[in-house]
Amino acid sequence: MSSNSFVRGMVDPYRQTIIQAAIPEQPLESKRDHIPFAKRGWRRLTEYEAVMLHAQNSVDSVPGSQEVGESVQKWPGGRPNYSIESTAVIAGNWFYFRDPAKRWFMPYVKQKTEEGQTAERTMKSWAESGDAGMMNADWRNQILGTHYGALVYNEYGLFSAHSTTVYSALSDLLKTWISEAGFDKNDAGQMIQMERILLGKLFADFDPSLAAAKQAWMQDPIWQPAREFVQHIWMGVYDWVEQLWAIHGIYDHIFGQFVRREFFQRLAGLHGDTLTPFIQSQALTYHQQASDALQAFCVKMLIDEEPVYGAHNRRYLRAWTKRYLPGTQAALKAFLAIYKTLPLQVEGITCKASVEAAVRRIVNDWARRFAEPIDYRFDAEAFIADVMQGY
Amino acid sequence: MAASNLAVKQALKNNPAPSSVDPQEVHKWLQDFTWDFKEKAGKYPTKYDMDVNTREQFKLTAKEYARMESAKEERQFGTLLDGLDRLDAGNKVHPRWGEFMKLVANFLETGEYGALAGSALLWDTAQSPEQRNGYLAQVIDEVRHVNQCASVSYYYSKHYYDPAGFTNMRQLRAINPLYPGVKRAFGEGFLAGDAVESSINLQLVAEACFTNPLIVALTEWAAANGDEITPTVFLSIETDELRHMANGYQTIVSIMNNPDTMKYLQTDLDNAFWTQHKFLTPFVGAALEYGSRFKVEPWAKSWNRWVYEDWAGIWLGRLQQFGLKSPKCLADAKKDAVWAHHDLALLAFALWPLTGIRLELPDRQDMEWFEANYPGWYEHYGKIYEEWRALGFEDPRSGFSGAVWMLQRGHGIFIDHTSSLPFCPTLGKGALKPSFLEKNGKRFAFSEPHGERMWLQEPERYEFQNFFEQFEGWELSDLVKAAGGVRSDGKTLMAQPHLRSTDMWTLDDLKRINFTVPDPMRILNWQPAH
Repeated sequence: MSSNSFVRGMVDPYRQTIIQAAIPEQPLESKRDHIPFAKRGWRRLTEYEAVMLHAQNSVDSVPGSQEVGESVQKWPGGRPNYSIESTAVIAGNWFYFRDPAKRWFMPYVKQKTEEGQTAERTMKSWAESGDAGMMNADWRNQILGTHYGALVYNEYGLFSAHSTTVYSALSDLLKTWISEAGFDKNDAGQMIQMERILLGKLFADFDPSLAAAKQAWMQDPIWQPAREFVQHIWMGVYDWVEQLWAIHGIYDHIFGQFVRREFFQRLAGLHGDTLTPFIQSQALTYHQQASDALQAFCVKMLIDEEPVYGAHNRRYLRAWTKRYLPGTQAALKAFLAIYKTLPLQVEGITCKASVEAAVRRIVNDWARRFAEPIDYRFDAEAFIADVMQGY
Repeated sequence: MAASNLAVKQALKNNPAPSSVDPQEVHKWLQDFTWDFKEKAGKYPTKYDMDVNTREQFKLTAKEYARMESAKEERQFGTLLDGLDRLDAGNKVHPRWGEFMKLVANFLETGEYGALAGSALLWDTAQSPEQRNGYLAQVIDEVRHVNQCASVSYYYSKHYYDPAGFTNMRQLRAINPLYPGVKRAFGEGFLAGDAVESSINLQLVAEACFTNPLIVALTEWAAANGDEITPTVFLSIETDELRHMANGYQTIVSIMNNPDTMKYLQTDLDNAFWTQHKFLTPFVGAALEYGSRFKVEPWAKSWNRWVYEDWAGIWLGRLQQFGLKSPKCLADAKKDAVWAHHDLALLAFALWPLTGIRLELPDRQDMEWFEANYPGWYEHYGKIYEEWRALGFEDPRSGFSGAVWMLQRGHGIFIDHTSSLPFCPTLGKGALKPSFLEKNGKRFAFSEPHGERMWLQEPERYEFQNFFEQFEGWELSDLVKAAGGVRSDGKTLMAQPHLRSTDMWTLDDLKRINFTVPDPMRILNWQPAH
C-alpha cells in the first residue's frame, strides 16, 4: 500500500456519492450476451465457453479467428506462431472444438482435488485396516516393484509428448483440453509412484526406488516396443494432431487401456491387491475424458461436422492409424509376456482364452470408437491373433 | 501427559507403519522419471544449454497443486458470486475505471494466453523433469489466469451498467490500434522465439518486473475507484506469479553451466525488457491515471519503486553472480515512465472510436493533479485537451476528431514497427528519437533506437502489415460497424468520447467526421529534425 490514507471507493460515502452521480439511471445497454459473435456449442453459452472461447489472439489465416491481420513478432527466420502448417489436417473453423466434459480450470482442479482427497483417505484406510496384508508378496515385489514402476515411464513420456501439442494447438479450447490431458498424464505417473512409496513404508522388503523399473523400461523385452513407441511419439512426430491421434486415439486406447485395466486393475484383486485398482481407476477416468475429447475433435469436428475438409481429414486420420497401429500392436504383443511372470495363474483369468478375451474387449472398443468412424479397414481377428502370439 | 499426546502414542502403537504419503515424498522422485535416448532433445531447441539436473523451487505434485488452486478458486468465486453480488458491486464502480477495465481485462487475458503457450514451449525445451513439472504447472496456471481475466469481463458484462465492450472485446480489439502492441509484447513476445528468450520475456521481465505494478498496484487504484471485482481476481492471479518468477529464476540457473552460451543472455535481457516496457509502461500508466477519478500515486513513482528499485536493483542484483547487468535501456525507460503514458493517452483520445470504450477528457481536477505531479503537463497536453473540448470533442454534432486535428496540423500518427504501438513524433514527450528506414521498397517507422536495433538485426521477425496498412481506405464508421462496435439499437457506438448517457455518438455522427483511414507513411513526408 503506497498511501496511509487509502480509501476504498466502494464503501466510502463521499466517493460513492461522486460515483453514483456519474452512473446513468438506466443501464446503457440491454444486451448482456457474452461473446455474442461466437457460435455456441450447446443451446446456451456455457461458462466453459465464456471464460476461454476466442481468447486466442491468432492470425486471420487460422479459420474461425476473430483477428484481422497476422502475428507481429515471428520466430527467427520469419515463421509465425499458431501456424496452420503445424498440422496436415484442415478445419474450416478451428474454434469449433468443445470438450464434452466442459472442463475449464475451476471444475478441472475441483475434480482433481476430490480425487486427491479420496486417494489420501483410501490409502490411509487401506494401510491401517489390514487390506495391505492381503497382498501377495511376489505380486508386490516383482510386478509392482518392477513393472508397475515401468508404467511411470510410459505415462511420463506421454505427458512430455503433450508439450508441443499444447504449444501448437490452433485454438483456445483445444489448448485447454490438451493442457489438462498432459497434466493428467503427469498426475497418473506421480500417483503410481505415490502408491509405491506407501508400499515401501509398509513393507520392509519393498524398494520404492525406480531403479529396477527403469531397467525394465529400458531393457526388458516386455516394454521395449512400448518404449520405442513413446520415444517416437514424444520426439519424432511434429504434427500435433497426428501426435494426439497416435497417443489418445490409438496407443493409449489399446496398449494403455490394456495395461491399466485388463492387467493391473483386473489382476491386482486376484493377488489381494485392492489399492492398485483404485489408483488406476483415476487414470482410467483421465483416459476416458481424453478419449471423449479426442472423438469430439478428430471425428466430430474434423470429419462429421466439417463441411469442406472432412474427406481430406479422414484420409489423414486413416493414414495415421495405419502408421501407428503396428507399433501399438507390437507393444501389446510384447507386453503379454508379462503373464508368464505372474505369481498366480488362475484358469479363467490368466489363461490364454481369458487374455484373448481381454485383448478382444480392448480392440473391439477401439474399433468402435476410432476405426469405424473414419472407415478404417481393420482386421480385428488378425490383429488379435498376432498380439496373442506374445502370450 | 496430555490426553491428546496419549492418543497419538496409542495410535502409533496400533499403527506402527506410516499410512500416508506426503506429496513432497513423491516429488523427490521426479528427477528419476526420465530416461535418455538418442533422439531426445527439445523439438524447439534453445541456443542455450539447459541443465538436466536443474531443480524447481516450488515442489508441487499434480494433486497437491490442484488442492491448493481449488481452495483459491472457491474463495475467489465465492467472493465474486456471493459477497460482491449482494453488495451490487458492479454498480459501485466509477465509470471511468469500469470503462478502462474493458481494455485491461482483455489485454491481460491476451498476456495470460501467450504465457500458456510460452510455458508449453519451456516444458518442451527443458530437460530436467523437475523443471518440466514447474513449467507444466505454469501452463495450467495460465489456463486459470485466462479464465480469471475472462471472468472479470464476464462478471462486468452481467452486472455493470454498460456491458457493451465487456461482452465482445475479443472481437472489437481487432480494430484497436493499441492491441497490436499487446500482441507484440504478450501475444508473441512470450512464445515466438527461443524458449529461454521467451522465458526472459515472460518470467524474468513481465512477471518478475511488471506484474507488481500491473496486478498489485492496479488493484489499489481499482479499489480506490469503487472496483472490488478486479482486486478479488487479480490478487488471486498474483498468488501464482511468485511460482512463475521462480520458474524464470530457475531458467537462468539452468543455463549457467555453459559459459559459451552466456554471451547471449545480456542481449536477450535487454531486448526483453525493452519489448515488455514499451507496451506495459505507457499502457498501465494511462489506465491508472486516465481511467480513474480518484488517484493513488503518480505512475512514475510506482514505476520507480517496482521496476527501477525492486526489479532492476534487488531482483537483477540476485543475478549479478551470473554476470547479468541492468538493461542498458533502463535510463530511457525511466524517462518513458514519466511521459510515455501521457503520449499514449493522447493518441487513445485522438482515436477513441476505435477503442471500444467510453473515454473522458481530463477535467480541471485531473489537470491540477497532472500538473502537480508532472510539471509541464498542462502546457503540453492540457492545452490540447482544452482546445479539443472547445472544438466539440464530446459533441456528436460537431464532426470533430482529435486524429483529424492532429493530421491537419502535421502531427502524424505512425506505428512503431517493432513495438506495433502508435506514436506521434511531434507531440510525444517520452523517450522518442524517431527514424524512418526503408527496406525492399517499403518504409518503416521507429519511435526510438532500441526497437530500431532489434528490427535491423532480425527484420524477418517483424514482417507484418501494421494497423494503417491493414485498414487504409476504410471509412471510420464502416470500420467500427464491421468490428461489432455498435450497440444493440444498431446505431449508437459502444465507444464514446464522454461518460454521459445523453448525446451519445452514433454511426451517423462518426460519418460526419468524414475520416478515411490513411497510411501516414504514404501521405506524410515527415522526417526527423536533424
